[in-house]
Amino acid sequence: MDAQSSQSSTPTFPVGGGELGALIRARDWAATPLGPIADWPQSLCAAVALCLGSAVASFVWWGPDLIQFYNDAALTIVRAKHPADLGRPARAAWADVWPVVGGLLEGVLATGEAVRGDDLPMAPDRGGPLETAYFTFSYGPARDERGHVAGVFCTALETTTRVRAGEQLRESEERQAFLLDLSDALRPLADPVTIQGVAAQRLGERLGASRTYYVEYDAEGGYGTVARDYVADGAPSLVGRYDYATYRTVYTHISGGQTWLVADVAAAQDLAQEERELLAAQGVVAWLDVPLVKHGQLVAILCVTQRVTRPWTAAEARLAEEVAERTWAAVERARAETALRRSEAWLAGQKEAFQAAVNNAPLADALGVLVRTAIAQAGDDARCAFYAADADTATLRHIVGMPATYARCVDGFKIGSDSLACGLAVYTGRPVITADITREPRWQDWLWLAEEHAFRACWSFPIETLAGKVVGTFAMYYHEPRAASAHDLESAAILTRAAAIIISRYQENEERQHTEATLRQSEEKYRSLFATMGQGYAEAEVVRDAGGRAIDYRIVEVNPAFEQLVGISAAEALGRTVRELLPPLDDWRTDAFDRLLQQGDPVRFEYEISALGRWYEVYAYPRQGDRFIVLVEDIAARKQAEAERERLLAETETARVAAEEAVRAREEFLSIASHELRNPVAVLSGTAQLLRRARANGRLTDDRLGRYLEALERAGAHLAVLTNDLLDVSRLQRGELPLRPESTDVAELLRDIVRRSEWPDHRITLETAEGQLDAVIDVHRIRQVVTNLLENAVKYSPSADEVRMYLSRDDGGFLVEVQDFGIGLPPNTANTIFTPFQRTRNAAEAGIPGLGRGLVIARHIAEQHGGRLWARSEGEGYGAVMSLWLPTQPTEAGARPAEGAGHA
Amino acid sequence: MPDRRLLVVEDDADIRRLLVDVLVDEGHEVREAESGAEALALLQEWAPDLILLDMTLPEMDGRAFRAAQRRLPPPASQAPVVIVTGMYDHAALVEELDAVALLRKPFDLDELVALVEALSISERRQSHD
Repeated sequence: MDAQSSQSSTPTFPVGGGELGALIRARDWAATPLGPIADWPQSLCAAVALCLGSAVASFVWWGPDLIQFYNDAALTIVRAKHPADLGRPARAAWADVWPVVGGLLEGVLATGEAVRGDDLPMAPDRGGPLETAYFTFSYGPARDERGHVAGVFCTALETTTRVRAGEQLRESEERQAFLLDLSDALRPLADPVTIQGVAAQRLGERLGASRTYYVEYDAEGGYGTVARDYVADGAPSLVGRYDYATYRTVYTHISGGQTWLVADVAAAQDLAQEERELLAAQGVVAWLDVPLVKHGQLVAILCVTQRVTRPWTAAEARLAEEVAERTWAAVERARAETALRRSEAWLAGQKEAFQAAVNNAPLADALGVLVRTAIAQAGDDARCAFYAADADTATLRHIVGMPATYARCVDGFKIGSDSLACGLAVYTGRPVITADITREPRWQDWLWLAEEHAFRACWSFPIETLAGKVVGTFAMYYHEPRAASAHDLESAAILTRAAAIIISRYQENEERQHTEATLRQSEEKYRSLFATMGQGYAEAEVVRDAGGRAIDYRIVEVNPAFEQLVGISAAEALGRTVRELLPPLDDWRTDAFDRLLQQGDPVRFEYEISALGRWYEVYAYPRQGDRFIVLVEDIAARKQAEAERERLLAETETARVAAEEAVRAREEFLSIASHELRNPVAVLSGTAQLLRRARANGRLTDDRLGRYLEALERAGAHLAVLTNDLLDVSRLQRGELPLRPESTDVAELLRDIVRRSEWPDHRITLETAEGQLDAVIDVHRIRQVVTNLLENAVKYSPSADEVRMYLSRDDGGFLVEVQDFGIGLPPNTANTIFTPFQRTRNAAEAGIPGLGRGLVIARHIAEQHGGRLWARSEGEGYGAVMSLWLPTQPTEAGARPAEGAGHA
Repeated sequence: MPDRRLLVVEDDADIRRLLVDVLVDEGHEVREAESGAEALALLQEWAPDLILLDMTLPEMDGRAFRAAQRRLPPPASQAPVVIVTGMYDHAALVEELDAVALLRKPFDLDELVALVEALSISERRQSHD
């Protein structure tokens, strides 16, 4: 009835309720198990009204069939099933999610307890691509009038956004965790290849990829290198080098730095056929390439490939990108660390080598350290060695590194343009890199040696000192052919620089040792000279007052000669000052020393140490700083030598003067002789000619003839005398003038001489003390002597008219004196007149002829008798006295009176 | 040709005699002096055309004589001199004494005669000019 009445009545229920409200009102519910709306129990109406009035998506399932009602808000969930789902049993409406939802609904119906389903995934048709949406459902019991649970009231809130956010958070967390793990795994790795391998494996496993690998791209060479790859599914490994000219399309896609996702190779239309074939060969269907561009340059590509099609997700791409970055960073870090370690190893090696050099270890030991360092860096398939270049012989000498059998072959190897390897490197001063010696013609004769020592590559680097001199080479040998990379060259440069420093040091050491040895020798020499030299040597240091003025000199070193000369022991002298030791220096010498110190002017002066009564010559010169050297020489000996020299000079001069005088006298003699001889000769020859002429012209009278004959006789006699005199002088000079002594009365002899004298202008007087005086003499010679004395007296007193002669006994002999009143003798000539051919100046001036021969002969005769003949004069114009003393018995060594004694 | 007046100054009597005899034989008017002083005294009253002068004279030698001669009034001071000597260094002597010639002892009489003759001709020519 209720149903009938309600059927007949105008359906006014539900009121409002939007689109769904209208649909419910319009629906003929009579055909449904619920019957017409009028028959609906109040509880159902209330539930439907509540549902339609709700702002959130709400459902009501009612009755045993759980007939479904929903409101406008639920359209977002129902969507395409609307409006069919209105009034449909829940089981049919939610068939796809019934396993979840059915259980919940039945649980509510059975227990009457409200339940909720959180974040249930739904796939609502939202008119776009299918997308899972998430909802949280609240299911509550709807009771009938009797209180039984007749249906379920459900409200739903879409939680898709929240769920999605949660999902993203989770994925992010997982990615971060993965990346963190990756970082942890990569951090301890030092080998770039291992890093690449681990990263590839982790990513590959994470993504379930067929293959993952990291390609290092060499921009210069345009190729990529795969050092290690992660491979699953039996895909082939791609380790190797790839020329990107071949993968032109791939390179074009990635070179800009954008990740390139390809789900299916078939869809990549722009691939070249060649690339397509290569990819096929590699079993690549889908790929994800992450290029890394640093500083505008492609440096690496992280590749993920799949053997089957695979739609890559953004998250996967992001993950791969992150992994790529981390891998690159780890590789860079490892490389940097390796470089650091390497350089640290280099440094350690160099340091050790330098240390060895500083400790004066043998050169081979110091360079041996570098050899070990180089091998540690280069690897076990390398060998290296150092060679010295001997500039003198232009040959090489092995220092360290190679076995003796090899070293023997290299020792003495020529340096030159036609050398190989090291010899050439020294010659050119440039590295000689032979990557493969079997291809180098220079090596052909030496391949046996290389084979014996198992190397194919040989690199030689010259070792050049800072001074630019090539002192040797560093050589590296490799088992396999090998070109030198920039890194290799750099390493070698470091090594050769270190070696250059070490070798230079050894050379300097050698030079220094040589220099020191030389210095030592010269010092020893100097020491010994210093100790033994006759010159006093002292080193002194200036002492200055507060104003900086040099006031004294402190002796810091003296030699034995100094001690001896100055009479001060080294112990006394050292450390004391000159003023303390020696008499005060006068201002002049102080100033001189000051100049020496200020201006470096050497000082030389003579210096008397009066306490010692000695004279020294002091020579001082600056050494360095306030030091100067004082050389002291005892000049007494030198002065004596100088005096001796002067005496000798004077003697020589005297001798020279005497010799000159002798020459002069001889010349004068010749001059006079020429005159005195020429006169009688002129008379002889002239008279002869005159006779001839007179006879010829008839004028030769008897008178004239008589005169001419007399003239001839006189001339002849004159010549005879002159000749005899000259002969006497000559014989006398040769010691040939024999005496014929006989006992004679000297007084009578003198009287006879006076009687026979014929000087018209002079009167000769004789005074004898006794009547008779007997002596044994050569009468002829003594007569000659006395006559000569009288002749001289007359000759040299042309203005006088008297010559006096005295005879007296005297001291075992007798004395004859002849006094004249003539021109006298100039001072100091009393003796020279007895020298052969010497005549006095005033005699010559007076025009008195003479040969200077008579007195010479006279004195000689006197001396032959053991007597003496001497002259004295009061001076020019005062006449002269000639004294002849003779012993009464002739004796060579007879007693003679002292000079000047006798008659006054 | 007794046309020249000659003075012989010589202390050696034999040589003086020799010179005088030869020159007289040649027709010259010859006077003699045995010392410089005597010669100077003679020159006071008699001017010769030529003087034969010995160098080594007692008291006043040839140099002194020549100097004194030059201090005499003309014509005595103008009389040319021929040096007769045994000394060396003839050229210097001739120049020093401003002599016209030098006759060296021992001399050749023909040479002496020729020399006096030549000087006489030269003298004559000069006087005629």
